[in-house]
Amino acid sequence: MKLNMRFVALAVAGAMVAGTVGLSASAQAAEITPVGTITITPSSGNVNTDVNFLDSIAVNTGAPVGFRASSGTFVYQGGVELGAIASARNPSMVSTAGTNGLDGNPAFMDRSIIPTNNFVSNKLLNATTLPLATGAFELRYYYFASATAPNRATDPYVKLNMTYDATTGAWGLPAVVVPAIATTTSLTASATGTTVALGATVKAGTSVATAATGTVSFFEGATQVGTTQTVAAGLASVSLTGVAVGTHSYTATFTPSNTVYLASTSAPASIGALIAPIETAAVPVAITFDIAAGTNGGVLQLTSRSSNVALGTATIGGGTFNASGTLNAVVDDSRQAGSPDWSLTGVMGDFAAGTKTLSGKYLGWTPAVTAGSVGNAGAVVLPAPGSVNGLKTSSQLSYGSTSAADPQVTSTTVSALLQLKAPKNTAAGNYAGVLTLTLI
Amino acid sequence: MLKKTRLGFGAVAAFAVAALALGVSVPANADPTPVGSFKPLVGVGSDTTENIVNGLGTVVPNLGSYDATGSATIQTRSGGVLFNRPNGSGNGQRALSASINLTGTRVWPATTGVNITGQVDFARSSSAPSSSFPGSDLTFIPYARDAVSFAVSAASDFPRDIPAGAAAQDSISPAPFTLRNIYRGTVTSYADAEFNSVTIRPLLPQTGSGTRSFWIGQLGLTEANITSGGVATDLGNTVQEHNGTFVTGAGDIVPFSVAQFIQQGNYASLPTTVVERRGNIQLGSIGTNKPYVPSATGGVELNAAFPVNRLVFNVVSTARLSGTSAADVQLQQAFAGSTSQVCAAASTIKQYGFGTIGALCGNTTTYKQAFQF
Repeated sequence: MKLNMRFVALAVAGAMVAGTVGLSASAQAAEITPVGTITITPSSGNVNTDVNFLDSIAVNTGAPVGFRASSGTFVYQGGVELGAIASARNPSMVSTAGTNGLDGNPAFMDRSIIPTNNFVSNKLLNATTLPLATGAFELRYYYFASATAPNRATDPYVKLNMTYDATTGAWGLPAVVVPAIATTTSLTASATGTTVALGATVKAGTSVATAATGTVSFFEGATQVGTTQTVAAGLASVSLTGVAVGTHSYTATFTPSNTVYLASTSAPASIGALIAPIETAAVPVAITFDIAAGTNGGVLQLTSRSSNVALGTATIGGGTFNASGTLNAVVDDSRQAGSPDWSLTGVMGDFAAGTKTLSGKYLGWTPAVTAGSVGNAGAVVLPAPGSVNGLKTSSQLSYGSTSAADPQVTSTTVSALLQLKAPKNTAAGNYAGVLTLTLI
Repeated sequence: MLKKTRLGFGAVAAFAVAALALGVSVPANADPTPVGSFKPLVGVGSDTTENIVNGLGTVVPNLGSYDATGSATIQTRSGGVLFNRPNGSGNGQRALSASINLTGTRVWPATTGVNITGQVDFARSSSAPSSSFPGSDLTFIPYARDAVSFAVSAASDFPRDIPAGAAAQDSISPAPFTLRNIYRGTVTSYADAEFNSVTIRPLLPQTGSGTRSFWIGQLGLTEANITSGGVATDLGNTVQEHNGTFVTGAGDIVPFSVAQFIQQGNYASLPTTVVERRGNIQLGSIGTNKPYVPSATGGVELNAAFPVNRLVFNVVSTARLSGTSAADVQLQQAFAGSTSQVCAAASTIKQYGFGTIGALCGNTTTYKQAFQF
């Protein structure tokens, strides 16, 4: 429910109620509807400076049928009548004094025509028959069935709750207890790489609570993330960097800085997986190789290779998630000359991140051999769809022959620039896969 | 409902002040003047109608009316006896009966008085024939109408319009605010304009006054009801009729002759002395009926529709209405028939606050009663 605070403060509502409970059937005043409202001006004052208690009084509910003989305004405190605060009104009251509700219509009286209008009020608050004490009191606008025996115990009235300070003489309306406005907080989460953007919106009802003041704190589980943000125009946002890859669920909590609005916490907003494929992903290079038994002794061996290649966080470019890394390998060949040529091949399995998979074909390479190497670099393999199947098809990284010249033992250092071009719709995740090198 | 007629109040107050100044110099009673002069038709009795009959005497010179109060004794004929001044309607009838004295043995006052045969010709009466004295010796000749309403302090918030009430409402609780309940003692207070509860003091004129018995009767009550009610009081039998000065408090209420109220207000322009003694009172309406209304000739006149009203009479010997003596003829010319001298004086009747009664005026056939001793 949306309430304007100022409006609530001025809405001086009272209830038309029966004076006592449990009346006999003949006291038909017991249940009066609808509830009435008294509006007074001024709404505050001080008996030490007041010329009049009230300048005007309005009652939005007229006298019920049967209670139109007279009306009066009384001060009650703690259920005890302290006395009348205005002269008795009757149906023949002069119209210049106002309307008194005894015709069933709303009542309104002021001092615009008759400055001394005693039907509005005829004494100050400190002049009631019984003294008014500090604290809450009621202004009751009664409608009476009898003018000669106005029965305050049974006849209906409209009341206005007020307060009085006997020490200072100040009177007014009670601090209106405005029901705090319920809020709802909603949260959106989006990720770019390892950066997560959280945006909270505080609403009252269906509208953004632009007047809300306070802060919004963001949490992942019970742990606060980011810094507490000040709500501005109902909104608060925070950006988280370096968020760990994986599934995250966040909540936002609005903490008001005053009593106008109530606190609220959002429903969790989840990020299924960071849009950071292969971020920190290593490509464990499982090596299997054979050593072809040289006829003359000597070995062909892969003496060095990368054990993990991290491609880092893929970035969008050219419509794909792109990442790259470098794979290094060294092949030593000490076989006797004339032995068969050697070949180092690699084949990429599929990437996986949890249950999500990414075909290995999106990985390609550009092999190169360093200077002084005896062997040769394999052909460039483009990530699919640059090639049909990328490195998912076994591809040659390097090849060479035994050397007849010195040195007899040759070494080939090969490196490959690994290139990942994953489709743009790849689910976020920490992907890993296995590239198998085979030397024969 | 409180209904205040503030303009009316102002007018009344002005009269009251003037009366105070004049009241000092006028005689308290009005008998045929100058003292020692005598008139052919001697009347005694009611105080309610003493002023109007005095007034009628100015247009019907044969009338010589002696007020209800004044000197203890009066002499009505040249060389006649001195006898106690009859005070009130009932005593007027007794004196008239003693004057007729068919048996020759009657005295006034009864048993202790003197023989007043021939000393009285008519009795002023503000009440109709009493069923307690069935007979036709006396003829009550109506000539005007009075009304009785309640009077309260003009300075009070006492409701100015009160229903008469009825016995059928006696069982209603809380008791309706009616005149009957006020005098029964079941309504004892009202709320003033500031919602203060004002205790009601229902006043009644002294015992024997026509206004008292009439008022009680009009409310459907009896003296026993008044006694058992325990609230209504005559202040030790001191409250005088037609005197508003007994109304002193905001809760005081007293029955008051409307005609008296009007004539006292008119005192300055009346041909005879009328003492303005209303004090600071206002008359209320009964059941929304106003006791008086604006007069076509200015001022006010009795509201002919006022519910609590009564005829006023001059009582004469029935036998003399058919007499042929000069005195009898004078009596007949003065009172009998709608064209009688009294009935012809309509403007005087109104001037004294009474209502005229048209063809009923001068009726000599309807209202009869036996002698009363």
